[in-house]
Order: sequence, then structure tokens, then C-alpha cells
Amino acid sequence: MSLSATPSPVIPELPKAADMLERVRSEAVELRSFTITFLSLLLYVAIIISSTTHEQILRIDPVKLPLLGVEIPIAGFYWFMPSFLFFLHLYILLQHYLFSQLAFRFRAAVEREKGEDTKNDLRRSLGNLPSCIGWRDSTAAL
Amino acid sequence: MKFLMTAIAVVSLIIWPVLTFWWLQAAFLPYHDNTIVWTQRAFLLLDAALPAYLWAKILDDEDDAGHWWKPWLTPFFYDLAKPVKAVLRWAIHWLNGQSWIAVWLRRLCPRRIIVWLRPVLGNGAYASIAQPNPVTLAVVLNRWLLSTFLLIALFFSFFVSTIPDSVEEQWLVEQIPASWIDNHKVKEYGVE
Repeated sequence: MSLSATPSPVIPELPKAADMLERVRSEAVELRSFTITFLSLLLYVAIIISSTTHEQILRIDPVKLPLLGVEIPIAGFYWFMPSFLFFLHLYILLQHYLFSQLAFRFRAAVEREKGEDTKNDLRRSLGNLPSCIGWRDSTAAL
Repeated sequence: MKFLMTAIAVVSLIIWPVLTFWWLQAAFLPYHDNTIVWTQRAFLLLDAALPAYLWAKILDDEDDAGHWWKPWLTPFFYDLAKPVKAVLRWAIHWLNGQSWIAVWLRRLCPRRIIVWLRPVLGNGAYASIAQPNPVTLAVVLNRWLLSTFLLIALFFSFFVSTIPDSVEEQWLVEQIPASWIDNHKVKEYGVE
């Protein structure tokens, strides 16, 4: 058997920046929605906390949820809410972590491209991604 | 614009969530339930650990939280190691000045070991020149700010927002100098 017949190992090609562009954009949009939902929940909790009075705590009056109008026990709310917020915060930070790894791979792919014009075009093609790419790139330099 | 984006991200993902945990605790303190307060403290502690680990991983392109914290920790180790390094440099400088030791070492040790040790021990003539510290304030500032914020939040949760006459407040009162508390009472009752 000759050496030329031996199959050479297949080295997978690294993804090109242009191919990653759509995925980065769609994941950034999803992350923006998650983040806004999380911030809305924080605002909702802040409204409930600020509306809790000492008299309400003394009488053990239930907490009335804004907009929904549902009444829930005050002790249960303040006992349960930290755990609920913790898991949501964990989830949102994990989503940001996964996105940051994708953004790092995209940045590396842009750096592999030849020509400054191509690189600048790819960076500009990210477009208006308000909550993600801007801070991601700026903080990565720190 | 980059600063604004960074500020929005830091406020919405770190400062606001952590402060909400402390606010929940402080707002419900008048209920005087130690179990609920300790549950809130435990979750605040867990939540403060999240940015310390995950935020560092988010910002590190090597996917390593320790790598991100390293420039912040380096100055401590660098300063701690300074006196040890100074003594070592002096010893090496002195040893290099003793020609009989060099001759004895050359006779005793194989040449390969001497060559291998040279980069480690350095040259006595240049040993006293200190290496510049590559860590700058700009690099470590965000680590300082993040760790300071998280520690302040924990301090407020564990040492400020305590239930009156609880076990932890009694312990805290014992740690504080008595003169501080006496002065407080004098001012409170208007007795001079």
C-alpha cells in the first residue's frame, strides 16, 4: 500500500465572520429581550417594596401586586422573592456569558479577515445592537 | 458612547439586582423574623458571588474568571514578594562577588546545572535593578470598583440591617468600643 493512498486528516475550517454575522445578530436580539424582561421584573419588585409600609408589616396585611391586583401574604412574598430573583439573575448572567463567548469568537473571526476595509464593514454590519455589542467590546478591552 | 453602554450594563446587571436584594431585606426588617432575614442574607451572598464569578468570565476572552481577576490580585503578591526578592538579590549579588564560591560551585555542579540555573538566579551585576510593575490603575480600577461594591453590599446586609436585640446585634455591640455606645445614649436622651 503506497503512502499516497493514506487519507490525510481533515482539519475543520474556522468559521468566517460573515457566516457568523446573522447568528450574532439574532442572539443579541434575544438577549436584549431577556434583559429588558429582567429589568421590568426588577422595576415591578421595586414598586412593591417601595409601597410596603410599616403599618402593613405590623398588621401583616397582604401585598397587592401592581397591575395584577392579586393579594399575596406579605411574609411569603419577602421570603420567596430573594430565591426567585437569584435564579433569574443567574439565568440572565448565564445568557450574557454564552453570548460573550460567541462575541469573542466573532471578534477573532473578524481579526482573521484580510484587509482593514473588510474588517470595518463586518463591524459596521453588526448594526444597531443597543444592549450587547457596544458594552461587550468596550468592557473586553479593560 | 462606550462608557454609557458599559454604565448601562453594569447598573442593570450588577448594581440594581444586588441592591434589590438588600432593599428587600431592609424593607422587611421591622417584621423581626430572624429566619427570613437570614434567608435574605444567604441569597444576597449567593447573588454577590454571581457577578464575582460570572461577570469575570463574561469579560475574559480565555473563559477564565481567575485570569480576569489576576491583574487586580498581582499588586498584592508583587508587594508581598518585594522583601523576599530584595534579600534574594542581595544574596545572589554577594555570592557572585565571592569568586571562591563560583569556583567551588563549578567544580561541584555539572556545567548543565549552572547553565540551567543562570536564568533563574540572574546576573549579579544587574540583580539590583527592579523589574517595572506592568499593572496600571486603569487595568485594575474596574476590579477594585466591582469588589468594593460587592463587599459594601455584604457589609450592609450582615452588619447594618440587623434585627434589634437579635443574637448578631448583641455580638456586634460586644465588638464595638463601649465609649461609642455610651456617647450615643447621652446624646439620645439629651443628658450632658
